[in-house]
Amino acid sequence: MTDGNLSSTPESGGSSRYLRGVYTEYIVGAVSVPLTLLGLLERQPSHGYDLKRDYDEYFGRGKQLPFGQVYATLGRLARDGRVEPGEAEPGDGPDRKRYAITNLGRAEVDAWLADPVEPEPHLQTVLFSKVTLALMLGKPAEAYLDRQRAAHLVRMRDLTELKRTGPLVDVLLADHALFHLEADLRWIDLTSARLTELAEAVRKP
Amino acid sequence: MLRLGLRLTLRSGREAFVRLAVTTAAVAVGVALLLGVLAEFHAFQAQSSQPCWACTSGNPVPSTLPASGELWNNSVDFYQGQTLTRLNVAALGADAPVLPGISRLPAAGQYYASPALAALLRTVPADELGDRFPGTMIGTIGQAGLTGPGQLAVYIGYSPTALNATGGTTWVTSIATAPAAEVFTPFFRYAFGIGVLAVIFPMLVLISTATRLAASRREERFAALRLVGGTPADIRMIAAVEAAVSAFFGAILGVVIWLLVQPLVAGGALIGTRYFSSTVTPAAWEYAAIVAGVPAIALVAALISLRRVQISPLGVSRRATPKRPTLWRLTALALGVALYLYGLSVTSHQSIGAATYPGLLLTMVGLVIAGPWFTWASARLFGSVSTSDIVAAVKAAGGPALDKRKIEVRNPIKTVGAHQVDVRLHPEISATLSLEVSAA
Amino acid sequence: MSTPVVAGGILIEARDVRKSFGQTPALRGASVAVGRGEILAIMGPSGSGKSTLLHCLAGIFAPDGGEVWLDGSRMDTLDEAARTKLRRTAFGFVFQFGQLVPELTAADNVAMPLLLNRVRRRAAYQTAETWLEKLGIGDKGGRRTGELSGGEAQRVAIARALALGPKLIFADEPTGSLDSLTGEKVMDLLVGLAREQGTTVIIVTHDARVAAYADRVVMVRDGLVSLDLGPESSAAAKHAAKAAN
Repeated sequence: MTDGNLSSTPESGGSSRYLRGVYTEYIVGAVSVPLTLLGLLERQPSHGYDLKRDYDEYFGRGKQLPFGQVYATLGRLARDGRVEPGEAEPGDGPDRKRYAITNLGRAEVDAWLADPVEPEPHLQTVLFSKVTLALMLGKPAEAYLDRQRAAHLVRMRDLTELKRTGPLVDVLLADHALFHLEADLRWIDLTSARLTELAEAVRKP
Repeated sequence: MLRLGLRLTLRSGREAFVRLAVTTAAVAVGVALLLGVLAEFHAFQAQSSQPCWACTSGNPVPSTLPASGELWNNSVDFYQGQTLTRLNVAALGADAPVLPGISRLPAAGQYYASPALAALLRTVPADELGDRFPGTMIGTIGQAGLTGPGQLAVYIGYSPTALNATGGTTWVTSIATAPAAEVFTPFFRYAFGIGVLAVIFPMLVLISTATRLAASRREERFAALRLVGGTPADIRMIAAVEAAVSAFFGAILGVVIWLLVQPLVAGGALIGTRYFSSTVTPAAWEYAAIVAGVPAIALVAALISLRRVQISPLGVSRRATPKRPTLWRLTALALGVALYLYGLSVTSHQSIGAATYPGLLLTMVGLVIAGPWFTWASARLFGSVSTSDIVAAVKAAGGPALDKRKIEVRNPIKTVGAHQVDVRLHPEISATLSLEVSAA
Repeated sequence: MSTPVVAGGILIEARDVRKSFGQTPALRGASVAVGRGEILAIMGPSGSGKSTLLHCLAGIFAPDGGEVWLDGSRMDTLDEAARTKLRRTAFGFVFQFGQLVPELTAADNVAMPLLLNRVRRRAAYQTAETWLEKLGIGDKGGRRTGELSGGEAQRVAIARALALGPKLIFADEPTGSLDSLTGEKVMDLLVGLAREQGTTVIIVTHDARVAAYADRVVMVRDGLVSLDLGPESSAAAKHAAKAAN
């Protein structure tokens, strides 16, 4: 479910690869659209139109998700058994179908939310989606945040160890990464403190 | 541990050293004053217990001159306003008692003069003074026969028949050795006692105040020591050393000051007559008592002042909050004043009322005990919450250390309740601090 | 209950510790165990009780409830004198503020726990000199600590902590007042020397980059140890393997 380029082996060679990998290859955003839509669907069965509207409102950040992408994704999810298209309702076109999540789909959302994201800088978008969804779905967001904290600290520990033995260039890179990871952690702390507020905000509609 | 205490006391930097020096100087002055008072008291004692030979009451001269004893004829002369004690004496036998201050009685045509008189005789023309005394001066009267170095006295020798012919002659067989019963001696004794107290009390107060002032600066330091495993006993030892060292050096310095000043004091006159300078000195045991006692008192004062302070390793001094001073504090003072006034009321020419002395003592003690009540009462009337109080409260609440000069109090805070003050953090940035003042 | 990763057994352990200050509960049943030679970081938001936990583990406070075990025997039931003795024989402290005597010299400060323990003056000062050298401030021995920079003062504190050869070092925000580079150097020294001596270290910090030096991280929230952000990294595993040999 994750992007393949960020597999990192903890030995120093792998860490170097990881470091350089972080800054040269980075694709995350696109991957979580199916999962986000799936998560939104877990709330209640919805039309594609409603899903797109909700996605744009919470996760779009100014960019609207194209209808085509929504229906294509829904189609793929249906093919994989994550969702079940309902009966076609009176009206025209595929957009009048109401989709419902399957148990397989539910399990996949659970696993995705529970699994921490690979610690790297600039992951707020993914983390943000996960936290928001978790709150919408009434899942234990705090626990997910904790697991993310743990993953971050492990990475930071490796980087700190690396600084002891590596060449100066790697030390500088490691410092940079450490500061960003620390920033992530502070964001996680702050979000953690705001969880009750956030839960209120997302449950409104 | 002792060395650690010494090290902390003596090598703690300039500011601490200045504090130490000031305390030492203050103690020195107090000690010097105390020694002066003691010395004066000694001299006074010496003088008033001087055997009063002039108090000898003689018998009337029998019709036949006896073969023992001597004839005396006292008189008082004057020279330029000074009293001149004159004793005309005639020995009747070989066993005639010798007057104090001389080795043998003057024969007719001889006289002994006191050193002061002898000095005058050397300078003053004979027709003004020397001619009054028939004969030649064969020596000076020693200290035992005089009341003071400035006394003018003369023992003049006469033949018994010549003296018997003069009126007012008495026959003396033994010379009185009892001191003169001065009605004012008890008065002066009390006065000296009070003088000693008057010097000791402020010194005690000074020492304890200095100890307590230094204590607040020391708290952080002591917390650091407690953190690394210093016991409360270690802390007490260090505090005690600090107090004792300054008091000890102060005492020594005070003794030195006294010794330098003593010649001047010895020359001065307290109640009209000068004292012999050899008597104007504290006894050896008194020196020792002061040099040992002052540091001991400082030590005890330091330990007592630390009793209520608990220094924890984290620097939070959980002071057992002293209770608000109650009116009971005034009882000793009231009692003392009452006793004193009662003693005054029964004072007569014969004696001073016995109650005045304890009354005065109790008043002094009572003032010290009642002090905190007066402070509290006047603070209630006149005091207000100061910027230092605010800074301390902010710090105690876990906030940052503010500069008290930056706190602007709009109106003096004299009431309980909510108040607001501004804190000028920056020329352009001002924050508002909300305070809650509660009754103590 | 979070358990340590290193072999060598548990050195110090808090079991269900409770502590309140007046009406405010600071710890509400905190439990954590620290292994011999382990470096543990305790993180948490301010007010969570992490410093209080450290103080209870160090015997500075006696907890209101629960137990603290040191090396197999109860520590929380010891009286004040015994706990004070522990602080000068078995524990070292590196705090953010208020730990050095500013009017005394660096050498005085480092020698202090030894002197308090009645070690002879000459031996104490020689040890102090040695450790000041190891911390790279051998030339500052005669300077008053109030005149030293923040980083130098913290090095003095570390020297003082290590000079008595303690079993445990307790650090509370050791780099709190320092800039990043100085802080890094201080942490390198603290952790490096502690590992060299096999000393166990417990660090309380809110700074993740400081916590990253530790073998294991626990989080304290609302007076409880709520999370063990354990040692799944290889670094800790490597260290564990080394320590076990």
